[in-house]
Amino acid sequence: MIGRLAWRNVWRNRLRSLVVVLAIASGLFGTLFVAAISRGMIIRIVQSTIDNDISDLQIHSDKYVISEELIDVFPQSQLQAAIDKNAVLIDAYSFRVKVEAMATSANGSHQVTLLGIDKDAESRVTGIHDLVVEGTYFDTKTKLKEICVGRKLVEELEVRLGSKIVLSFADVEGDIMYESFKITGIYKSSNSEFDKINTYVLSDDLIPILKTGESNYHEAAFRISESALDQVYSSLHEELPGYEVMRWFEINKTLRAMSSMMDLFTFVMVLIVLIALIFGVINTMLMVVMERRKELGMLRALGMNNFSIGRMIVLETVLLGIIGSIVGNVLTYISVSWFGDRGIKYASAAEGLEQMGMGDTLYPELGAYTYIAITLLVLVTALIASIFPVRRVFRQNIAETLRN
Amino acid sequence: MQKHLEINPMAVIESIDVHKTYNPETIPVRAVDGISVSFDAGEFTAIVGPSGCGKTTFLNLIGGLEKPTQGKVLIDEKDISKLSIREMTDYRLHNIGFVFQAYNLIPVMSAYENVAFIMQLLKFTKKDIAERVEYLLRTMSVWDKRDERPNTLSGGQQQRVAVARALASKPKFILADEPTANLDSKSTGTLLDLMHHINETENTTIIFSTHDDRVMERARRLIQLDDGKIVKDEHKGA
Repeated sequence: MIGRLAWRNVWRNRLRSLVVVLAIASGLFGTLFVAAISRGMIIRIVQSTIDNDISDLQIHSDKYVISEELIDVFPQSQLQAAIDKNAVLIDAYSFRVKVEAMATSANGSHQVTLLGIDKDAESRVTGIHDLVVEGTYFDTKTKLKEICVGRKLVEELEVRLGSKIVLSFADVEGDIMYESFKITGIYKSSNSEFDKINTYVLSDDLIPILKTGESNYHEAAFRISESALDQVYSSLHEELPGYEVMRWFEINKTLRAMSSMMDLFTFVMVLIVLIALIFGVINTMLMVVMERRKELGMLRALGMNNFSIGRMIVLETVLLGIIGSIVGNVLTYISVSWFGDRGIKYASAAEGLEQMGMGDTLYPELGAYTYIAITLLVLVTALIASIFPVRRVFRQNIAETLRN
Repeated sequence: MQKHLEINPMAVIESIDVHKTYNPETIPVRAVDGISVSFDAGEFTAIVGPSGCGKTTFLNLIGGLEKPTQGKVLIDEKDISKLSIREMTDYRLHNIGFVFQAYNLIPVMSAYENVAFIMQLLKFTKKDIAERVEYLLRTMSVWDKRDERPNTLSGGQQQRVAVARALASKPKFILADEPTANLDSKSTGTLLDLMHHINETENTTIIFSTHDDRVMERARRLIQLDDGKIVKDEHKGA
């Protein structure tokens, strides 16, 4: 009965209720859509970093993590048993050798990270092969050593597909080696800084030059589903003493910090908007109870107790909040889904966005829990906002309200 | 007038030396000034007097909407001026029916729902509510208007729905504050006939405040107030 009465009261003054609903809905929509864009940006950075660079989990020898010395390699065979034990949970893995090098062309030079990989294994772990925009991913029949480099590095060195570049780096004995590679593939990711630094060669070509020994590697990278990540991590951690097993957020702590910061940012933004909305709702509900003071006085005179009167006003406020949050959430969901699929091209800031690893298109994204959390926050806001009108009603003298 | 300082064991409602003063600290206004009177079960009483003589305030005091500054209001020998707000609300719900000059129906509810509302507060069963509401609306000749909201009803129809609402909980007495003030003579006649009928069939005590001669003619007891005091208390036919 109270619920039905409250619902009808909400729609007594349709225009006023719609204004309040639209104020709540537009406030939420604006805040959530901005949050969705920011979240989409962060997720894209995190995902592209995991997909193209660090993967879900990495293993190095303890010493390599501390000093990154070339000599701190591990034999593949030492890891194989532990990997096989978790084979069901591991989607893919790849072994890499890694060395800091100087890439030089006739027109310039640039410091790079040279990764020696197995073409097929790496294809299953990183998405670089899909990002090749010119040439192939180690698929030419050239007798020269192949190298796959980023578009940005090509621009820096002023070279092109088929050009030769010289890479200089120290081997395990500390001797500086110079080796010529032919650019057979050029990739372009959403992160131009990444493209400038990371270059890929076949491990079979690199290991003999580095003299690290056959089947000895610096890094093992794994793709593991999110649900299995912790389980595999624990297992490998236990199975491989003397090795540093790290999940993606332990390898790149900034990524997790960015995600957490974005959640906090969203929460603070929503809180500010809700605080602003509280005043609007309080104002409206005060007007409502002032307009209906005679009717509310009559209800109290007839024997409706303060608890029921209070419940009715709280319900009216909460209903306004719920309707506003439903409209706001639906608007946000539709917009986020639409733009999440198609993206928002941001051409004027494309270069800056690419430097940050976001590509030139923004893809808004919002987790289901955000919608639920926002609805709950709006409910709490409505409850707080209803306190003042309820107190106002309770303070009114029944006989006086009836006289007026 | 002689004050009734002794408790009348037959009385449903009794006021003993009741005073109500507004703004006692600043400019005191004595709305009710020492009224002692009792009402027996089944009375049909009109409280009359000029505007500002304290009729409405006196009804509010015996209806528990205001507390007296001094004196006692006894209902079934219980001093209601000592009840808490919660107890008083509950007491009104169970024992008193109100009819207001401006009808005061809930605008978002139909005539049926307005009458059923009080019974729902009292947690009557659906069956009891349906039977009682139908009986009352038929008695008040507004059954055919049961699904209509107050704004589509005439003043007389609204007031008859309001009387039905006041009777819904089978109260011991009904307090009607100038119920005919906004009605034409035909509607007033119909309303008074119906209230007489209820008074006789359900033995409900009905107390009016009124200026209306037509009400005064039909009342069996007339209490005249002036300056917050009873100046005349007449039992017709007594």
